[in-house]
Amino acid sequence: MSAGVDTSSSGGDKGKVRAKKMNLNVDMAPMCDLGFLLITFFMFTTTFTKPNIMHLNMPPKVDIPPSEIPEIKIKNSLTLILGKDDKIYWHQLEQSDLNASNLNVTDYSKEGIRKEILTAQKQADKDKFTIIIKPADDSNYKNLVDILDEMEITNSTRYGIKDLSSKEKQVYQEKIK
Amino acid sequence: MARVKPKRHGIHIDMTPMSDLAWLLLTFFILTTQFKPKETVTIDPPSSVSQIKLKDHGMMKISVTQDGKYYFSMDEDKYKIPLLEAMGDKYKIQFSDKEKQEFKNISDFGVPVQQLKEYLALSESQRERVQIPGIPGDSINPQIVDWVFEARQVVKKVGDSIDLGIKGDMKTQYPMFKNLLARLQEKSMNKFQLITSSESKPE
Repeated sequence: MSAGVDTSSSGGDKGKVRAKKMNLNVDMAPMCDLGFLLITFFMFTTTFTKPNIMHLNMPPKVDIPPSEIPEIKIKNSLTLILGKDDKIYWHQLEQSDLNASNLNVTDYSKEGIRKEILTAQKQADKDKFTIIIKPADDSNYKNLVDILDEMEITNSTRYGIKDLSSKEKQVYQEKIK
Repeated sequence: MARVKPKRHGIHIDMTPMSDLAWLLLTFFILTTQFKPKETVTIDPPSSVSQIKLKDHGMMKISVTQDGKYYFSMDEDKYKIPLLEAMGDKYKIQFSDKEKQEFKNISDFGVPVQQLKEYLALSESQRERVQIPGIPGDSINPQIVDWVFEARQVVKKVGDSIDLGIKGDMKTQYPMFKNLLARLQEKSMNKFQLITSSESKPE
């Protein structure tokens, strides 16, 4: 039976005039459909617009005398320079050994930086592997969030954000030329 | 006399209770949903694999636009007026009751405190068109930090706490962000929450 008002009377005998019984029966199915459709819509929109947060804790500014700054072995560290056009430059060298030819370049893809981090992580001493993130001035905010994401994905808990040293700046400029 | 054939009826379920239920649930959802306050600036945040959801209450937020302008917003309406008064005291500006009420109504703003009076006097449609200078955040005039600092003080007075979220646009240049962190760190605020959209974690 189609939706609508059911006015069909249950037949009638010939001759006898009987007051027609009006049987109002509104089909609620479409209304019900609409209600559930709207609920579904609301549920989806409310749960998915909620933004996520990412904790970023920076070290407090304290003056530590240079002699007390812990040394990190080169093998246990990985320096990432976030450059422009979504490129990452990385090295595992002393500042003095750094030059444009041994500064490696990669990107934010799975085969790019993640592989490099995991390789370096394997070679390093357990629990001592430290990643130093150095965003260059021409990188953008997305790059930083992406790299912090990589830290999460690769389970690298020891990382820090620093500015580029003057040597690194110079080498980076040379490299992007 | 011909026998009257019984008329065949299809099975007919009464959908009324189901419909009632659907609409009741719908009403409940609509009433409990908090609508996102209209923001004067659209920011497209980068996505992250982080699973932590943003808190509903007790957040203040600094938004950094693509061109490096800072906006401030706070979701706790009850602290907004004391905050404005505290900022007014600091910068020697008197706000009228009407302005305070207006301040409570706006969700975010991006003007220096000296221009806030003029900004509050504008109508909603005018605010959308007006050129927004952004809240100053350089080292000489770090007003953005004052807002955060004063908000903390105001909230602390009543024994509550408030967190700071930072929302940057994907294309925001890093120096703008670095500058903001540096200014906040000067006031020994070292814990930040970066607001991002969600993304699934790769295996």
